[in-house]
Amino acid sequence: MRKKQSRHALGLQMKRYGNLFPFFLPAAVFALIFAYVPMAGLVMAFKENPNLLGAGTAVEGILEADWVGLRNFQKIFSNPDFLSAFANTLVISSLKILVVFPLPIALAIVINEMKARVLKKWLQIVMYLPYFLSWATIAGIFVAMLNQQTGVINNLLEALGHQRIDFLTSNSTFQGLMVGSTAWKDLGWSSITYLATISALDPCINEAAKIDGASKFQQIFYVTLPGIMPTIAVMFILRIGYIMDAGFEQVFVFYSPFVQKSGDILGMYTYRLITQSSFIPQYALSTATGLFNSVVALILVLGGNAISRKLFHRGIW
Amino acid sequence: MNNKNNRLRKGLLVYGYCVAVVVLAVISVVNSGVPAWERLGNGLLSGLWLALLAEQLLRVLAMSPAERQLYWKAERLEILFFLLSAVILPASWLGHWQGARWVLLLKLPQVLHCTNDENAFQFIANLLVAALIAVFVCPFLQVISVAISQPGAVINLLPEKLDMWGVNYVLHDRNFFKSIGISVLVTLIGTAISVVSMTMAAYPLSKKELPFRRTMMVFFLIVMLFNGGMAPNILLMNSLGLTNTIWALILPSVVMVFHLLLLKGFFEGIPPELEESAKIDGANNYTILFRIIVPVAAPMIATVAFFTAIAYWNNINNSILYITSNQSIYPLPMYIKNFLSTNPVDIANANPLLLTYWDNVKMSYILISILPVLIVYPFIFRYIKNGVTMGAVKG
Repeated sequence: MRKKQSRHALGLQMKRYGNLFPFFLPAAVFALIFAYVPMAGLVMAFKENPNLLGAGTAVEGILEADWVGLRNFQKIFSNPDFLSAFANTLVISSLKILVVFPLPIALAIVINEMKARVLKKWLQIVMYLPYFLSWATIAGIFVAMLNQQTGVINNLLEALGHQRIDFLTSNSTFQGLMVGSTAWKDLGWSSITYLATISALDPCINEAAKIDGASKFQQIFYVTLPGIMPTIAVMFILRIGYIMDAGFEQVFVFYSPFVQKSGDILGMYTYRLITQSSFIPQYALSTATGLFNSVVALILVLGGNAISRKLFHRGIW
Repeated sequence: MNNKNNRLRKGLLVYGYCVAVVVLAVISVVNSGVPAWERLGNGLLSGLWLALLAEQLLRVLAMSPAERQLYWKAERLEILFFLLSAVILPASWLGHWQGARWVLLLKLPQVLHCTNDENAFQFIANLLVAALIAVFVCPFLQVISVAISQPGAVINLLPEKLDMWGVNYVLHDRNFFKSIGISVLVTLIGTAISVVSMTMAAYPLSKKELPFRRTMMVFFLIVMLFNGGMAPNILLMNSLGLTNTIWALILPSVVMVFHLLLLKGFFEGIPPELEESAKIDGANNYTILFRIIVPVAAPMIATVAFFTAIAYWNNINNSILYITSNQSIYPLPMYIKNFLSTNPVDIANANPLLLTYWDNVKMSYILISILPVLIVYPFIFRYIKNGVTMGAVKG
């Protein structure tokens, strides 16, 4: 009985809203072709490397390849290059979170509390700009600053009596370079969220604390910070969800063979398997690496989102 | 007597601390190479450090039990500093531990308590912000200066001996301007397709009663959360025949689910009466969406369009993966990246002067590629100032 009724309701709803479905068409077509079809291509991870030269089309090549179960995964997990890329991904991402995550929070608090209007205005003009530049441009800018022979930073180091440092192509500085350039690009932009949250706080609480004799630092640590703590927590959990993404574009533009040991991340490894394998493109292994990356990332994002929903009633969607 | 003693102690704490931090900063930054200076600096720092420790010890000993209890609670950082000092100060003399001396900063809150801390805070904040402005401005200054200076000149943020050869070279590089044209084209077409299709899809999703609403939501969320990875995407583009065409730069990025969610959220907030009245007048869905909803949502759509445009303008991923051999359709970022990693010797045959001016030419490329962004920046700055919190998490 109830089922019938609900079917009836569905019919009514369809009648009322059914003519809205054509609106989905363009987005759904693009999603199907450029997102869902590649997902079907993930079967390659469980097959032999497709022989694309012999077969007529890619689809045929993939269909004809033999199933190999999990052998591709066994292969990549026993490959030292993969393991080092995986480790680098985690290290670079964690360093970024550790260093770059707290900075916008501190910056937002300082901007909110400071009184010098001119300085504040100038900072807000210049600090958002790097976010709108592409990584290629930023790489060029960092080359100008950090060049071993001509860069300002090295000129300064020499003037202070230090050795000139090879920042751009040495393994000891590459990960720091990734963290530093991320900070430079994203610092201003990431602070917007926190600035908005702080400006939504009730100023009366701060006033009351001031009257009770709280020092500036006590106001910050016991009033402002607890006030924006939910936002910080949510942003942190969501940021953790993206730990598998160490920034492919960024590493790609700064990358050189000299820094393979410290800079080879999973994205680069996946890419090299296709483009730079000495004989034939290793599509199967590359897909297996990509699938591993996507699945771990998916679990982290969903987990982070679930935690954030449960604790703070906020999520990405 | 007691009062005077207190003032003396405060003076020592504040001024001694400031001097100690300055000495520490100088020691860590300057490497003079003269042992006598180094010993003097280290000695001065350690002396001040010990004085600070003594002051802290005396202060704690002079407290009443109630005060002391409060102290334990409120000044954990200073206590931590006291404990760490026991290890770090001696160890730093043995070398390799000098960086750890920055635990001195743990004492900062306590020092600020003793001063008029509003003023102190403002002072420190101004210093920090001024330094930060320098951090954001200096790189651009350096790029400009290298671009317009003579080769071989030592350039520290300011141009030395003007020489426009590099800029001139770039201005005569047809391919460079072609790549800018491609970027503009990709950005315009991509933004148009993406924003229109996202707006159209967001509208039905904003109807709470829409049948299969959850299904459609999940359908799009999966696109955001999961992807096939590089290899299947490259093979797909190959089979569609899009590799090495500008469509490879546009089509894969059309579905931007985050924008879809933003638009959907905005549409949900539009009062339904607005379209009810139009419906009674006999308007069809297309008229309602494009004549009524879109004008109301114009600020949000403009914002989304702006971020879509930025994403297309800066996208380098698509050109890395799908433009494998046709360098003539490299968009701007890829052109720059390609030039930065070129070996100068390879292209110096055409123009031997290139070798001499290599650095200047590179920076001229960067400079001219930043210009378009700089020109539109004042306009987009308004969006930022209007409190566009794209990064903000939706409730």
